[in-house]
Amino acid sequence: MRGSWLIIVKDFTRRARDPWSLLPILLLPIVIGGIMHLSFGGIERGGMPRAVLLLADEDEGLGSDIFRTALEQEQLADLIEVKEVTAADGRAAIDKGEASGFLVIPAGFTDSLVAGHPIELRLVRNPAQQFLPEIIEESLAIVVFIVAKGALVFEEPLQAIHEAQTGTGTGDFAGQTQEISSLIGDVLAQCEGLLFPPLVTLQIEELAGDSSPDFPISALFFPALIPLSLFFLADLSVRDTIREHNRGTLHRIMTTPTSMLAFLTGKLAGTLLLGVVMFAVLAGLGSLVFKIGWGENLPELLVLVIGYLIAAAGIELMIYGFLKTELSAQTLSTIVVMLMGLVGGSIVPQQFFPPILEKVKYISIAGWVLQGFDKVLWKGATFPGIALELVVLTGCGIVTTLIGSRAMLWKLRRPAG
Amino acid sequence: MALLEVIDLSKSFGETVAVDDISFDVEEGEIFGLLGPNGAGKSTTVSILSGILTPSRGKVVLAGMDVVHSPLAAKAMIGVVPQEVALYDELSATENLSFFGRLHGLSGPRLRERISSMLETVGLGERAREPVKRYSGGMKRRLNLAIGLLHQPKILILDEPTVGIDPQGRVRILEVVRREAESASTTVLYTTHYMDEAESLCDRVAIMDRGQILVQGTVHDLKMQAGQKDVVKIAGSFPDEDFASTFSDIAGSKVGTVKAEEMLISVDDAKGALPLIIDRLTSRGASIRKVEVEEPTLETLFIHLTGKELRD
Repeated sequence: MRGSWLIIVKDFTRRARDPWSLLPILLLPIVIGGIMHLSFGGIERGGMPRAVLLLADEDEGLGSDIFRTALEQEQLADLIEVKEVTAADGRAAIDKGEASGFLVIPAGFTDSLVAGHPIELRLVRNPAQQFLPEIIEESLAIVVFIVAKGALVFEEPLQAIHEAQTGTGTGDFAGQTQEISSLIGDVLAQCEGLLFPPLVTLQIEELAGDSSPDFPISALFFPALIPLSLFFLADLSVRDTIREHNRGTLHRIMTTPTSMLAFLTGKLAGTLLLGVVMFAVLAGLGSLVFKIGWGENLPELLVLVIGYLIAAAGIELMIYGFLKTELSAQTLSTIVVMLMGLVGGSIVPQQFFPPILEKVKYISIAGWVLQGFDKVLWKGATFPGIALELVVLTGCGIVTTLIGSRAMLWKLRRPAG
Repeated sequence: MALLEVIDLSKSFGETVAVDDISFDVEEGEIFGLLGPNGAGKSTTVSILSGILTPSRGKVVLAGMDVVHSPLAAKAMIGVVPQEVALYDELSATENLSFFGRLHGLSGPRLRERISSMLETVGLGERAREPVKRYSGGMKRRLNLAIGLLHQPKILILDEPTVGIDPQGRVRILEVVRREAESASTTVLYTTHYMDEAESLCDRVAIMDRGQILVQGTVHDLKMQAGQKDVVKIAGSFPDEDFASTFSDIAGSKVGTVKAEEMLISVDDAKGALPLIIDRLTSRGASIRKVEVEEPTLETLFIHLTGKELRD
């Protein structure tokens, strides 16, 4: 135990003295995440498709006219294409994923607006899309705010127009218009009315099913790249074990009262510790650089990372234990790391996987850990929710570590070279 | 009393027999040399003695303990200086010493005192905090030696500790080993293929080749055992005649090759016989330009035993 601890301390000191060996691994998610952020993260209007909003107007009055006119203003029209539908057609279309959002303006909307009664609008978002529903939601929030405040400010003129349109007024429309104009002028002078609570509120409904993340695209790429970095770290640590063997420091350690098992345990425990530290650093950098929120379930993420590190170290032990030379093992290791990353969703996030890759990802430990990440980060899963991922990763870790350690111990006990 | 006993030791790697049934013992306080060319099996023997390799057959007993059955207890008594410079380049001399000292169970003031003492002994005190990667080859070798001595082992095993360093560094290392053996009564097992090192340092020597021990004993005994004689090498011009009977009255004399300009004569005692040899040759018309006397060495003994040079 003491021997293992001394090995861990020694390796941490070595890493601290020569941090350059870890820097590329640490920078990998930052650099690739940064490139992805620059490539896809910024929403540029010219390059973005317009969000399609299905609008079912069951009111067909002054209020819904104002609402639709606001949505068709030049700036919003660049972002949103409004298609009028019936409520039934709209629901069917959004269920099929044919639009980004579906808004129902209920019957009686104008009456309530003019009368100053609270009204609720219902927006249905398409969960299969990531950013377009976000645009609709944000835009509608603004429109709702303007309409609600406007209704308060222009309460009297609106009432007059509404009465004129519905024929419930005095019948003198020209006189009413004059009256409205003068009232508008009066009301404009009383803009403090904007401080009143809104009459109209927007309620968002997210359809059941796989939801899309709410944050920028780097928030997808960056966490996905972390397993790739950690796999490379496992490769580096196990390769260091072989190098200690080849350079004679391991044999020197073996001339002290330290067993080979204690040495290997120290190396593996050091890998886990360093991996956890690296994850913490990367998580911090992710928050700092890409504004990624890691949520409240950090213990779940940490346990997933530890399970993944055990599995990664086990696979590396097998590679370096069974292959004869360091060079051939390093080559195979790089291929395995990249393939596992690619298939598992480190390079192309699982959210973009076609159906075929959805199945194939399960052959990769990166696939399992990223599925766990997805559940914890974006669906708020706790330990019961990621039990399957933990069992698979830990099970894989135990089996590969047992086989790999055996091969490695056999190799390390032989003379180097 | 033998501190280390090696009994019928063998080690094979697949078909290759690296050590073939060797036996020797090392007395407490002596410096024992294991001499042989590269590939003779010295390093494999050292690895078994250090507990790194397990023997295929035979046993190693250190202070009454079987090294294979009680490896950790045995290792606590052994200090090993490996052939390769086994250091962590990123760490300083102090950190390297501290790490290996702690593995040997040292800690606290005792560890600090031993580190300071060893740095002084090998002359690295002033650069103790520099990363080892900035050291010269000789400095690394000295630190390599210091680590082996740090925990004051009962037996110090040095595997070719002077390979690849300059003569000055070599002398310094040999001095440290000699001093340690004398002042701390440390028993030393020293492997080398430099016969002059073995001759100047070792009380007893075993000569190895192809995994086997060919001979062992004191340097003097070995020379006598092999019937080695002094060789007188004379350069000049010699009359064309048989000189075999010319020196027949000189003890142990034998005339070797006689070429037109060189004659080799082996005798028991060259110093005593030299005036007589020169006198007889000149009286027969020989013209002598140069005379050299070669006393027997371990190298000549090795050549005598194996028919090849030690550095092959």
